[in-house]
This record gives sequence, structure tokens and C-alpha cells, in this order.
Amino acid sequence: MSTNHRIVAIGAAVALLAYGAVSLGDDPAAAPPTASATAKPDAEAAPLSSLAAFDASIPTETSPTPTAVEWRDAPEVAPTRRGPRASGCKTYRVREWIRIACSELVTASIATLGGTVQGNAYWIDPQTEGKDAKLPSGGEMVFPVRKGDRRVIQILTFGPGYEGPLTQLPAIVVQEHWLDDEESPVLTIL
Amino acid sequence: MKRCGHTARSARRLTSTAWLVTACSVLVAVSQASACGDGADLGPAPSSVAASSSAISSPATTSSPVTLQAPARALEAPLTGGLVARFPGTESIVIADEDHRALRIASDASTVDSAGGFATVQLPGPPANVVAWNDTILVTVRDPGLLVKLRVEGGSVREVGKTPLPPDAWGLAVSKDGKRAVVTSAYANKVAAVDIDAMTADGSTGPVWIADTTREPRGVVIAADGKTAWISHIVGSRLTKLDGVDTSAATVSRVDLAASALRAPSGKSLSAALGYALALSPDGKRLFAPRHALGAMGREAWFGAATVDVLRTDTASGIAPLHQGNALMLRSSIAKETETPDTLANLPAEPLAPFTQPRDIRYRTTTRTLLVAGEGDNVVAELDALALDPTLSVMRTYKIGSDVDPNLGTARSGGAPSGIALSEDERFAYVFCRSTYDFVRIPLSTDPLSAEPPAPIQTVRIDTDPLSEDAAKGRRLFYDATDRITSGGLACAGCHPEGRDDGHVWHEASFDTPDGGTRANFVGTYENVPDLAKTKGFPRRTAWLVGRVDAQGPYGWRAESATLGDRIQAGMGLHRWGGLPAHEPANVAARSAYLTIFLRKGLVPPARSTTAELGPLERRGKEVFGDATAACASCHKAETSFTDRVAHPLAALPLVRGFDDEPKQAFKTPSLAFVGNRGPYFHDGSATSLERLIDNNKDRMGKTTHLSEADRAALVAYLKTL
Repeated sequence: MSTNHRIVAIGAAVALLAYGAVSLGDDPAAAPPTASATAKPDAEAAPLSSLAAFDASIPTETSPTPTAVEWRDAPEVAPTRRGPRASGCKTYRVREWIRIACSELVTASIATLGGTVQGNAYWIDPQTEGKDAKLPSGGEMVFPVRKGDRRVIQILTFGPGYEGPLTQLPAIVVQEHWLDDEESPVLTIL
Repeated sequence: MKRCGHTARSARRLTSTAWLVTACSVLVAVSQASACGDGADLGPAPSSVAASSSAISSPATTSSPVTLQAPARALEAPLTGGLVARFPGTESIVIADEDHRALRIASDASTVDSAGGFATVQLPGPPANVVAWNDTILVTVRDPGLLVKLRVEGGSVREVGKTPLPPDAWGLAVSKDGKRAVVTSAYANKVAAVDIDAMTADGSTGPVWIADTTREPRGVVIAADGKTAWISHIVGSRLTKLDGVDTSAATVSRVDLAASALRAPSGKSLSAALGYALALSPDGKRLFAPRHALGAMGREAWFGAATVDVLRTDTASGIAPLHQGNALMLRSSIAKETETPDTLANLPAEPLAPFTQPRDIRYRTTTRTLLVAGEGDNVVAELDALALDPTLSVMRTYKIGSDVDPNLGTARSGGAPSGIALSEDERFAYVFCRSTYDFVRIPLSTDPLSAEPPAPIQTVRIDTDPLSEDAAKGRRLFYDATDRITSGGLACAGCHPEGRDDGHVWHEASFDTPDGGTRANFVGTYENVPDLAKTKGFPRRTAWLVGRVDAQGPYGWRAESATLGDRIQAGMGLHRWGGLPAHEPANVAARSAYLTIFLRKGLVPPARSTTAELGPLERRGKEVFGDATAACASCHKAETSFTDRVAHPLAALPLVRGFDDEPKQAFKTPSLAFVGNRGPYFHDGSATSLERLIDNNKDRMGKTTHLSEADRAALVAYLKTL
């Protein structure tokens, strides 16, 4: 995806923030975390072996939510584990902030299953209407990685199941923790 | 001595590099029915042998030559027992085959391809857990309670030591220095430490210390420093921690570990069952506890969920966060439009049972993963050991059950995987399946997340079922959770482990299900019942089966089932979500018939330390029990296993929170067999101990208010001998 394309996506996404995002920020006065989740990444994530580890030199001091520009320039990093279901998900880092973007994933919902919620922000691309209507494709989340963390977040997709063709089904589970007996944080996306 | 055909063949497979051990020199006669599996029903094992050296009647014996690869090194880590143990530094393994009362030893588990590759060591009783290193094998024996030490020495296997232990010796771990063993005794609720070097051939040296625990201690692990041990239980979610394991008197404490924290109803802690095993991470910082979370939430979660709960050892606290019902969530607009009351978007949507009835666990260091044996669904699941909740991060599943019985739906090969050992390079898992007596070798992927298809597994039938063919079918049904007619995803053994009980009080609730109609089903907690049903269900405590199912009938809480078979069939309808799938009545009848045979022939009552002679207190209690005024024996008739099998109307017990009030209060007199160690009591579990039950009876059953405190204590003491 070109830089121009990303900028267009930023504009479209910001316009839809009212119903496409939810967050629990550290500082309400800071830029909305979901504003960061606006650059559409490429569909295929890079092999983990080619990326820097997400926890390399991660700062321990607290910083504000990154801006959209910071996210645009953020490098893709490798989580501790990434499963086949998350092969289309990219992970980015700015300071201690992590953004996981699953741009091609039909996303029904994103839910905190447990743990830290401070700083969490979720984003679901809106479905398109009209002739080219399609299900919401693209889910993202942003959260800080800080000592003492533990969080489990789930992305559900749509598929045939017990509630018909639009049953919410498991897609991805993100688990992040940095307990105080751990030298470095762990981030798994399976 | 008559030698089994397959073990005779094993002699031809010895290699020149192997350490040949000709154990025949120490042989005594071996039961052919037991050693060779000729199909004869053995019946229940002796129910009780005192845990004293005088009760140790026969040493371990071998029925065939044994070979081991040469031992390579001293211990590098503590050893955790299981049904399968590998000699570190080699591919030699030993298997504890409880039903044949034997150890099975393979010189090279990486290549063994026939039953002849296993040698058999007959034991003085049924083994439970085994560990092995260098030239030493340690094995727990359930009845009589023993720790037996075998030595592979000078070309033979010798029993070189044994230590009498509280009966039903089960779990086993050995400290890194090889000096101390910690053993759990399941039915006795004890844990003991044994000085391995001090074990004597005549069993004259007892444990260093014995400590009390709560019900059914099973798995045990020892920390690398040898000072701390952890114990799992098949009843309850708490673990037991032992400090000062290396001293002369350990300190016992209880540790809370929430079961399936992310699936618990908000603000609630779930009970657990099936805590057969534990595993420590190599750095000792994390303790992994596979078990069954009773009442865990999820779609159609009648039985709860399989879980691996992770404990942080330095703080003795679980690392998984608790479920938050109102935590941050974002739904797409389509999700909002299409969701129904059944949508559970803020609960884990992953399967409730990526494995069913966890039975063993091993930490795979090279991949930082966990291998869990699913006894009920015949799989070995590989989970992420780095996750807060490994159950939500299943990386690969190895299906080992096969040759499915077309009539019963159970696996006839690879059934009930119950023990795992890893090869030295961790490229293979060696598994023992206890309902089909198979050894299974699983090639493990070096990258469990890779898309490469799993390599074929190899299965070797070690022996045949020691029971009749019909009982063997019942055994497979008892363990197998995959047959949708017998139950809805959880086998008999899931709630009645070894025919005992999980200590849980279920909710018998009637509600609508998608397959149509309103039916009564069991659920783990009232939060599992759909909100629209507006019911919490009636309390039904899991029944203890073993040793209490010989009577013709009737069965059921209200004596509503004329026979045991009828009761099993009723259970098939209750133990699921919704109704029985389409079936022919004969299929249900056949299953209950096979299960009836197995429950009566195959379940083994727990070993107990009872003796023929009652002590003074117990004798007094027996007098009170038989006294006409107290009238205990008028319903709990001794000649019929302490029950008259009649449903008597009784005064209602106070309503237990979380259940519905029950208009009908007539319950069948329960048998008092094994009543001493199967609390809590009553259909609602409201009496947590026999002492409380008697103290709070208030003449509800018989007459006890006139009894002195001493007589009440005597009565309880007597009840504990039954």
C-alpha cells in the first residue's frame, strides 16, 4: 500500500470514528488512540524471522498514545508468537505502544476477555453499503506494554454456525503480559 | 513359569548395544491372566491391605528379559512421575500399567514396533506413577500402599527397596539429587516423603514424614531446589504447597488457583476436577495445572471446560486475569444487529474442550509448549506455555484415537491416553493409552504452529484388556467422551474419575435447547443455564460409584431407576445439553449394558488402611450406629451395603444459595460404603464433613440429639471405617 493510499484511508477512517472505535485511554485529553489505527497495512504480514522482536529496547517509562503520524512511520515488529490464523495480522510498535492490525480479517467484534484495559483501543472498519456492500473487513487494537500488564483480547469473525450465517466465531486471541518476575514482555497472537 | 508369547519374542530383538538385563533369575510365578491378558475377568482387586511391612507379600517380578540403553548421565532436573517415564539420556521407557499390575519396559521407545519390544515386570499391586533414571526405577503401588525401588544391575532387574506408605499411593516426584521422593496417597489424603537411599528390601524403613492434605491428592512436582513441592487434586481447584520437603517435617499450605479464570462467571471462582498432573517450567517460575473447570462459561457449556491454569510460583498466584463481564468491547454494527441472547462475545469463543479429561502434562522445553493428554477425546494437545491461558492458545492437536467401533463410537486403538513422556530430543512424545493398552509414538513438529501436516503416529498394542470383551467395551465407553449417545462430550470418567467422584454439586435444570423441547440437563453452575429459563436447577451431588453398584436396584436419588442399567440410560439424557441425538433404543441399551459390566467388574475400590479389628472408639461408634434409638441401621442396613435402597421423605434442608427450592424431599438412602472420604455430603453438598453432618442432624435422620459429644465422635469414627 502506498503512502498516499494510507493517507486517504486515514481521512475515511477518522470520519467514521463515531461508531467504529472504542478506547479506554490513559489520558482523555491525549489524541484518541483510535486515530492511530488508521493506516491500512498490507494484507500479508512479513515472516517473523525477518522482523525485529517487539520487545527490543522497549522503554519502561510511560508515554502518551502515539499519533497517527507516528503509527504511519512505525516499523513492523515480531510478536513472541503468531499463529496461522493471524498470518494476515501485522504488529507495530511506537515506544511502549503496540498496534495489531488485521486488515483483511472480517471482524465482528473485539472484546477484552480479562486483564488490563487501561490504554486499550479497538477499531473495526465499517462495512460498506450499497452495491458493493461487504462485511466489516479489518480489525485493529492498540495497547501499551508496561510492566505489570496482563491482558487477553479476542477478535471474533463471522461465519456459519449456531446463529446462522453470521454467527460470531473465534478468529484471534491476543495475550500480552509483563509480570514483574519476567525480564521482558510476552505477546502472542494465535 | 509360562511366558507370554510376545515377551518371548522380545528376546530375539536385543541388540548388541543394549544393556541386556536378564531378569528371569529373580522370577516367581506370574498370573497368566494378568501378565498375558487372556481375557479372564479378574474382578475387583483386594479392597484393603494394611500399609505395613508385614502386608508386603510379594516382590516385584519380571516375566521376560529386559533391556535398557546404557544410562548416560546423572539427573539434571527433578523427576515428575507419570504413567510413562523415560530414563534421561536414553530412549528407554517404563510404563505403569495399572490394570495388569505391571511395568512395561522398552529398550528403545523410538523404534519399538511390536508388543515383543516391551518386557513386563510384575508388581505386588497396581502401579500408578513411575520415574526412572540411571539404573533405578521408582514406582508407586496403590494397594498395598508402597513405593518400590527396582534396580537394573549386573544384567538383572532386582527389587532393592520398598517403603510402606498410606494406602492408594499414587503421585510421585524425585528431587534433583535423587535422594528424596514425594508421594501422594489419593484416598488416604496424605503425602509422604521417602529417603530413597534408606529404602530397604524388607520394607522396614518408613517415610521421613507424612502430612495430611485435602481430598484426592494426585500429581506432584518438586522444585529444583528440592525444598518445595506442589500437589494437584482431582477434587477442588486448590493446590497444596509443601515447604521444607527436604527436612524432617514439611509445612503444608493450600493455594488458590482459579480454574479457567477467563471463563468464570464475573466475581466467581470455579471449582475444578481431574487435577491428575502438574508440570513446572524449566526455570521453576510457572506451574501448569491441567484440569476440568466445573461451571466454566461458554456456549452450551453444561460440563464446564478443559483448562490449563498457570500459577506463578514465587507469589503462589494464578497469572490468568479473571473474566470481566463488562470489560471493554467493540462490536461491529452487523454484530449488534444479528446477535442473540446466546451470543457470548465477551467470553472465550475457543472450544470448551480442546482436549477432554486432561490426564497428564509435559513441558516441551525446545518449543516452550505444553503437551496435554486428553483421556476423553483421545488426543494430545500442544499448547502455548507462554500464554496467560494456554487453553486459548492451542498450537497443534495430535489425534491418536482410531479404529472407531462402528456400534459404540469409541476408539479401539489409542483410547484414553493417560501418560506422556518426551524423547530426549523432544521430537517424539511417547504415550500410554489405558483403555486400549496401546503405546503410541507421536512425531512432534519442531514448529507446532507450522502448517505442515502431522507425521503419522505409530501405535503398538502392548496387551489385551484383562477383563472380558464386554467389560472391555464398557471400559472404553467409561473413558471415551466422543460417543454422542453416551454423553454430551464428557465421559463417565470426567465426573466419576476411577469410579469415585469430583465432589461437585451439579444443577439439574430444565430449559429449552436448540434441538427443541424442554429437558432436564446437568450444568456445572446456574450461570450456565440460559437466562430465559429463569431457573437455577436442583442440587445433585456427583455420586460415588465404585463399590456401590453391585445391588440389583433401585438406583437414582429418588430410587426412580429400577436397575443400574436404567440409571445409566437416564444419565445419558441428563449429561448433555439438550436431548439424546437420534438413536435406536438398542444402542442405548447396549451401552448401558457394557457400562454396567465394567462398573461392576472393572472399577477398583480404593485401598484403605482398615483392619479387621475396630479400635475402642470405632467399636463404640458401631454400638451407637446399631442402637435402636439412634436408628441409623434401620435405613442404612449393614447387610445390604448400609442402605435399604428406599426413598424416605425427610425434612427439607435449608436451601443452598444458587439452587432452586425442591418441592419433593424424598431421597433414597445412600450407601455408606466409603462414606469417610467422599464429602461434601447430601444431595446438595451442604454438609462439608461427617462431623458437621452428625452435629447438625437434629433428628432429621434417625435420632442423634441425645448423643453425647463423645458418642458423636465415636459414630463418626465408625462411619469412616465403612
